[in-house]
Amino acid sequence: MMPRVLNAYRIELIKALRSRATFVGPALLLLLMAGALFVHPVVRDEKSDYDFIAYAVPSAINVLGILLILSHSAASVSGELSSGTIRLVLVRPLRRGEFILAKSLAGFSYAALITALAASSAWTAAWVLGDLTGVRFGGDVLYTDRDMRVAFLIATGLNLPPQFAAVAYAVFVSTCIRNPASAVIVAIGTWILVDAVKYPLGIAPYVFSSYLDSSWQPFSERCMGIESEFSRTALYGIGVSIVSMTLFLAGAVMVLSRKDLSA
Amino acid sequence: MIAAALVSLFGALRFSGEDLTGLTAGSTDPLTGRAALHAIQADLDGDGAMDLMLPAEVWLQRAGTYPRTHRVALPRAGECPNYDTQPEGIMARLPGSLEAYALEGGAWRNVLAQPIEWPDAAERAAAAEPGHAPSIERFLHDIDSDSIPEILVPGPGGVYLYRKNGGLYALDSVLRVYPAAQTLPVTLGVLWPPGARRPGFPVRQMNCRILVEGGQLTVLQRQEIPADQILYTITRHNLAAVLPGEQPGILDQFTTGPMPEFVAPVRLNEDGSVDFAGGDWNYSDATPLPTPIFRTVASTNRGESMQSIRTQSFRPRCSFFDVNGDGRVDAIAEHMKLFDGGVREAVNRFATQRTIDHEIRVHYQDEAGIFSRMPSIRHLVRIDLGRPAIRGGSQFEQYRSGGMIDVSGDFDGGGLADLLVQDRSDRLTVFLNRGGAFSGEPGAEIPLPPGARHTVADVNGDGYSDIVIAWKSEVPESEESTRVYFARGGR
Repeated sequence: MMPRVLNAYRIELIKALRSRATFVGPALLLLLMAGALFVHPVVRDEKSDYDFIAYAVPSAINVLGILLILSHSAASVSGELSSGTIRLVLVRPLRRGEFILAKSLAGFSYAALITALAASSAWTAAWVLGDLTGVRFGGDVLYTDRDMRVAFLIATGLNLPPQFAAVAYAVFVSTCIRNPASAVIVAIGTWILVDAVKYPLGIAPYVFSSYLDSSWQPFSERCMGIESEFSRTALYGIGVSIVSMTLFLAGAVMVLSRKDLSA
Repeated sequence: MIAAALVSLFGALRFSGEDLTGLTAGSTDPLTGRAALHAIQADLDGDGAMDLMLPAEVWLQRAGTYPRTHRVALPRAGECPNYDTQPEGIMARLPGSLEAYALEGGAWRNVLAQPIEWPDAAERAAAAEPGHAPSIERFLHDIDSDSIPEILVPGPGGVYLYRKNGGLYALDSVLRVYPAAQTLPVTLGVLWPPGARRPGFPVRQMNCRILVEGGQLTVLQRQEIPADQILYTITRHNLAAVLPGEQPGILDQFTTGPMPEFVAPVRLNEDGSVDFAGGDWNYSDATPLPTPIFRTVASTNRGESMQSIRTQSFRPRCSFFDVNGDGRVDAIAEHMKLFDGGVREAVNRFATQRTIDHEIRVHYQDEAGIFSRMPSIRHLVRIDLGRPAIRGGSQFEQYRSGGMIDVSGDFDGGGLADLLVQDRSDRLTVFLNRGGAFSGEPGAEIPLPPGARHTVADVNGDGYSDIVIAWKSEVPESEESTRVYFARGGR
């Protein structure tokens, strides 16, 4: 199974690299990061600029980045369904479930790319234009540069499971809806709807989207001079994300297994 | 209601509410956790229970409360004197005279009446004019521990010391303890055109605070320096050993280093020296959404170094209190979880969530005067605003002003500070301190009238903190009502 999945995943990556649309999202992200420099200027003033990173990276990933991820993944299966190319893909010895897994892996890679791009551009801007010499308040070094880099890496790692759950959710929607534009609209619209009602309904702790931003909080708090550590909320977020990812992928496999591809 | 009854049934904390309109309390001092009760507590009738001296009358304590049948008007109240208490009686500073009264059988007996010249004679005379009210002033201090209080009154040139000699008080000396006046920066004024010329003149100014504790007089002088910082000069004088007509010797004098301007003198431990503490807040740049960051600072080494604790919060009601009962004041920080989880989640909560999660963090102070870096106690409470925060309202405004959380009361007499939370607009909930953590279950629930504010103070001096609730009815021009919930112990 794994060799077939990995082969299909490799083909998806090649297809993505050949498509110009793939690069629109990262380009927009880089523009957003550049724009963030106007809103939150970075200068060499002997004051550390980790707060720019704390400001720009979560904003880029959780405002624009998540929309890009949802759009990309929601169009992944539905695009092949509407054009009929899925029938050609599945002529190969590839099960429908393995097809879904390959699409999801491609989505995960896209999410990781968005995250890596946002992180690297923010750190590069801060390193080139500003200062990264640890967090100081009142003359005391609260956190060294190494501490901040480690905290950022941990935050980035913890941010990936909810993003992967978002990919799985969008792939599920993409499997249910044939038209890619409709799939994108439904994916984003349902996301917004759930976000709007999760607190009044009291279901926020069980929705993976609640944990998209929370992984950045310890890093942001350290930039503000607040003593902070990664709490159990992070582990809870990983658990909810893994459960959500499993359910959505299972749902996508089930829907595709029952779909009449000849229609 | 049923829950509150059940809580009482199973022997948890007990409160009894008494209407005590006329008793008022000011806001809680964030540096000490003490509420400004507008009354002096003293045993005026010698029965061992704390009575209350309000500006115009005395309330005698009976059976742990203050019945209307045991209230006595203060003598000479119409002349608006300054009152102070002494063992089993009171003293009144009137314009040009001093009188003392003892309370016997529910009536005042005059035990002293003498003419005397006060250094603030003009203020005393003005206070006697119509439109003024009597007030409470701490002017009696037993500086030599002989059970006979001396009188200390600030006046021109120094603090005026009056001693009792031959049954009457007389001026002993003027303690010249004021710091030297400082010349303020000269403002140039208007120089041109000549017709509008108004030159600026140098101004000399002196301001200080005087603190008398037993046989010591401490002078605290605050000095502003550039970059929004301040210095304090602290001078301790020995009053106990001052001979008649002489000036007090200096026990200790020091000047602090530069400190933030919001810092004030306070006692944070029992080492006898003056400490410094304060708090300030502003918005952070590290998040896309403006996030309030409150900074609590403290110095336990005469201002040589400052410790600071930052949290995501507006100004809390109480930043310092001895929570674990070890004689050392602990730092209390609060964390608003409204802004947790990033921009989207914060906006979501703001717009859709009726409740706010709020975390109380206590940082213990150790023997070296260092506050713990990570919280020693963390406790999460959920506050029901009744509507999403984006719609504002009085409950949200009260939350923003720090009026919902109070960690300055010991309601069960356990020696540990308990937690009082206004978790709904119509209710206060007590969470008892179980030593190292606050209980997850409520110990008691107190009903609140609409628009009421609450204060914690041990009104009857029985060692259990009580809850003072004040509110105004919807009737225009009505008097503010006060109800006191006396803690009656129980676990």
